Amino acid sequence: MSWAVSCRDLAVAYNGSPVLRGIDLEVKTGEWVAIVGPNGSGKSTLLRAIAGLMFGAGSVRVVDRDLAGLTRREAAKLVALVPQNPAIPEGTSVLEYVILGRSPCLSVWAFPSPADRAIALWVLGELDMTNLADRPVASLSGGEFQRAVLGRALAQEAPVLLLDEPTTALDLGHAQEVMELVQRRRRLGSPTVIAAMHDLTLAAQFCDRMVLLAEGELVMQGDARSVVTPENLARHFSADVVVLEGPAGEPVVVPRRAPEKDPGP
Amino acid sequence: MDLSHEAARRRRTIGYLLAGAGLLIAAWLGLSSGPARIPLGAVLEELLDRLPLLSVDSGLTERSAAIVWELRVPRVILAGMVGGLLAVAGGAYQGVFRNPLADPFLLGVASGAGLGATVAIVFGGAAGPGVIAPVAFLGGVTAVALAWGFSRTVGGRSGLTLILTGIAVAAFFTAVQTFIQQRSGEQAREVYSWILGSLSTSSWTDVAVLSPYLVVTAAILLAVRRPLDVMAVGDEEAASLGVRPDRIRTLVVIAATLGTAAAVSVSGLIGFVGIVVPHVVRLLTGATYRAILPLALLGGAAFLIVADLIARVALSPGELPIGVVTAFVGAPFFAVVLRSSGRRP
Repeated sequence: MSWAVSCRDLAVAYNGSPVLRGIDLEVKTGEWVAIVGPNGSGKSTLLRAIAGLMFGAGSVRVVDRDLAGLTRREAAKLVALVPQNPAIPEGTSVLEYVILGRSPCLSVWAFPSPADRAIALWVLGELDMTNLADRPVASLSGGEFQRAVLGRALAQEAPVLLLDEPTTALDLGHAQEVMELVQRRRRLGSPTVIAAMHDLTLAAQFCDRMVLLAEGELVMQGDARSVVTPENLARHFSADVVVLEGPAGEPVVVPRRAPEKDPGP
Repeated sequence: MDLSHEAARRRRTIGYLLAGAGLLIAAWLGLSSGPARIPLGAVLEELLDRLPLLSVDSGLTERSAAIVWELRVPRVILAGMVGGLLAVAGGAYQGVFRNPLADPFLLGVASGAGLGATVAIVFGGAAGPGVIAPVAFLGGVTAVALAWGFSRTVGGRSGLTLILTGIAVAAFFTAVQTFIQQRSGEQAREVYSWILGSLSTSSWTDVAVLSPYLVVTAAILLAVRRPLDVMAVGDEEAASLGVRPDRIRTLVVIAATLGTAAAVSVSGLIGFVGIVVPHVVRLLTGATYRAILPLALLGGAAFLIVADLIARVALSPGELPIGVVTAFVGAPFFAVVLRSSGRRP
């Protein structure tokens, strides 16, 4: 079986302190994997390691190639990353911003060709953003900008798409919309998706498999129903929750208030 | 939106035409003006006469022709080269450090060159003025090399560490330079006037010395225009888009340092050009370095030729320091562009 992504005994340290330890993770081509875990559990670091932006001990293979042996450009052709807090470049239009996604396909000295422009325009059409093409990205709303960032990543046409908290900054409707866009695009080009998510309910609705990280280790993985349980959330998130069943049988997380100790006057 | 793409392209084309025309007109005026006024027509005829197969009688006396060829032509060319180098280096620094306040002196090249020139003027008396330029060049390159080496030992690959070590090195070199200047007595004035910048001693030799630096620096900086656009989203995102920000930064710093140190060593410390010309270009044509850098090269050249022209004629037969003119004329001009463009740089 060939894997889209395969991490073996991956360990990453940041400034000497370990952030990830002994991660073994295999992701099939076309699979959508949600990575969940409390703040500081190493979700972003894991995505960076899979994108080849951070290296550590162990190996990361993407589409059967060892990331450590690839140039930056080669890695960027295999893996596209939607970062958690993308920078907003002043004065850049949405179209120019999406064209940046074509960068891995261009040599350092070359400029984007009409074909690159056409790809970027097609992506904008897919994201229903054609009318925003000339707007400066700095003037977009949070939801629009998140779609533009997704557009940039899709324009890379990489087989593996990494999303780092793609919905955290968005309201409910926009969060849903971004996830649906990823889902739709996945059916078209079938890229493998690995998404670090805070919203467990939303993650459960879209992922094929859920991976739970805690304190830099892969604690468990499996279908969303087996991972999102009150016991797991209490142990790893210190959260007091009820898990209900959604319309399609998916887990729905409902936080529970602590009983008030002092009712007051 | 293809219309707007065409519009952007048209704006760039207009920008190139305007900058090119501005450069030619500035050069033409620069050749004509000065203590000895030479008619514009005669300058043109004199230039045409030098073209192969053309023979035009400009009607200039031998003395006037010598003024044009031996004084003004090299001076105008040198002003253009220095202005273009400072502006293109400043534009590249603003991109590579993602810092709108960056100018080509950011990493200490000016302080280093200032110290070098001061040492040459104060202690190099017997060696003559010919040693000022090479020693200034060495000082400038040394300062940046120190800042660079120091930033590597600190660690951290982002440009910020380099900017901070550059500030430290610049402050130290300036302190030493000020100390030597204070103790030097009668040479202090000469040091001071070097620091304010001047093109009054320009010669064909200076033009010949600076040419290779202009060619190499401009070629390298113009070649990395697209990665500079990618780096606008920050180092990590640029890396995720296949660019090596540390490599591009190294390349830009080396090219800009060599070019700036060479420019400064023949002209002194001319401020304002390197920071403001790229911003004016950015405000007029948009944010892509694809257009900013070549237009900054042309615009910086035209701007410094005009500034030098004003330096020559404003107090004729005396000369103003060109660094005073660049800011005195450039600052109001920049304010007007800033206001009329109605947005932040």
